[in-house]
Amino acid sequence: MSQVSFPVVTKNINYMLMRLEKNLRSMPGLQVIRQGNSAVEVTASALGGLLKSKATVTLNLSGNYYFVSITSTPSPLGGNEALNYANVAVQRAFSTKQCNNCKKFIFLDDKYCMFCGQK
Amino acid sequence: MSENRPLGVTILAILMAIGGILGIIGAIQILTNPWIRIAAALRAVNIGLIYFSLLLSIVALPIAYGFWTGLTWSWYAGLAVSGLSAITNLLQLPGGILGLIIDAVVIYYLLQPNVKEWFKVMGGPTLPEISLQAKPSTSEPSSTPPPGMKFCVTCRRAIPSSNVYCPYCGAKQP
Repeated sequence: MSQVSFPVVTKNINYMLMRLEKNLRSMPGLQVIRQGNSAVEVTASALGGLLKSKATVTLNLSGNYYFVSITSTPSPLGGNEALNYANVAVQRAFSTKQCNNCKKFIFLDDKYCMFCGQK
Repeated sequence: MSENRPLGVTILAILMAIGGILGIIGAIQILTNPWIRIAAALRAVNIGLIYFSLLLSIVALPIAYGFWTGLTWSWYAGLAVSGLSAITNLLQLPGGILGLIIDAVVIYYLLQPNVKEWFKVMGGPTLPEISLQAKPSTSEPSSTPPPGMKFCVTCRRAIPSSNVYCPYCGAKQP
């Protein structure tokens, strides 16, 4: 299991999971399923489903940080594509930057600050 | 991935694989039979047709694999093989009517949007996307936003309900 943390941009965990799902769905050949209110399961298949690997991304809000843990199950031959994809999607979905104007954390791909509207 | 495979594609892939394996075994058995060589020498049997069917059986196996895994080239290969088969059956009418009907059904099926989507063929609909970046619309959204979310008043994208500004278009939210 691996764990990374990101500063809180929004406490809306549903929005966080939607961002993660959107990133995962933009990657080819993945099956993405929401697990409850705080996790997303991703399955990568190869050879027509014979070689499957799974990864589960779980979000936990604690204080001013989201702690993101990723657990994975490799395929029978040891490949772990699901984990690789999940790691990339987590970075794309949750990476942050600071607004130049209000200095609050916003998502890396946001064009405008959601707090002050600064471009 | 396999969960999204249309049932018809699965059936076609299995039939193609079985047909390919049986075709190879059958052709090898015929070609190794000494009586066939005698019959071919007497021009009682067209040995070229047996080699042709062996070739088709060999080609069927990678196409079956392509159907199973959704490889784009196998869609084109499947269409080409069905098209060639349809032309052959057309030339053999009325004897080839059953084969012609089967080929027509297969071609029609391969052109269906969900099948083209499985093979990732251009022109088919894209995979379902979550509405995080829904297209801007001038009308009111038909569905309610997910819990804790709202639609931007300008670009209609789903954003957290606590947002003062839309992170996509910068519009101030009421």
